[in-house]
Amino acid sequence: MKKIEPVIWKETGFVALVSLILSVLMQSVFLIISHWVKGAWDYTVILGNLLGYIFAVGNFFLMCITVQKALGKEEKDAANFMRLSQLGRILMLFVVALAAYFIPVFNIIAVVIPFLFPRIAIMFRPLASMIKKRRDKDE
Amino acid sequence: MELAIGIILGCCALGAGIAMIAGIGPGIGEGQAVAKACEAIGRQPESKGAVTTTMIMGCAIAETTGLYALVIAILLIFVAPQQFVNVLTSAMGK
Repeated sequence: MKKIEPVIWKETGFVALVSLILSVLMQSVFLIISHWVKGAWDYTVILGNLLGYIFAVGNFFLMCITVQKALGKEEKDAANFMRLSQLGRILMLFVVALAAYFIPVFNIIAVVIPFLFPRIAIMFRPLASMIKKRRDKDE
Repeated sequence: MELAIGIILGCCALGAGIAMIAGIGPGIGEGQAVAKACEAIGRQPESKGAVTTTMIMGCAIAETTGLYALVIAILLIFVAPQQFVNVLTSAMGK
């Protein structure tokens, strides 16, 4: 098995951290809503959030590994490999959502929302790099 | 009443299907980007590290469109029909 590049661990760690912060934020939003809508926040939201978080970060990690593997292939093979991987990962997320719908211990909305957290984490990436660069410059 | 519920369910399923059309784009886009990255690495093998980092970021952003589509489709299939039927039932009750 090919060794996973350090940059993948680094980026996945960053995405996991930001997603965790956003998950806490989401929980607090559910908690606030539960003041008006009874039953909006319960254990199903926590479990759903956990499931969604694991698969969202896992999806990002799998995408990183796919990119690493694809970059070592021929052009056409790389493109096909990437398409196939994307289809597989989307299907995986759909199956997770399907499972969350049919298993009553998960709140479907709390499962689905964390799927979008890695994108928000990536949005913050240039900001984090800029802060780090400025800190290095100051030192 | 049954007809209205049927129309709601049908429209939700149709909407979910239409939303998932957006899921095709990211796959094609990522494939093209990675193919070009392979070409770039082939020309300049020393740039592999920088290209990998840029590719990861690019693919993550490209994939978002597909994820948005998936989330919308999931909500339309699993969450929206019940909400719409509840609204319809309460409106009929009034």
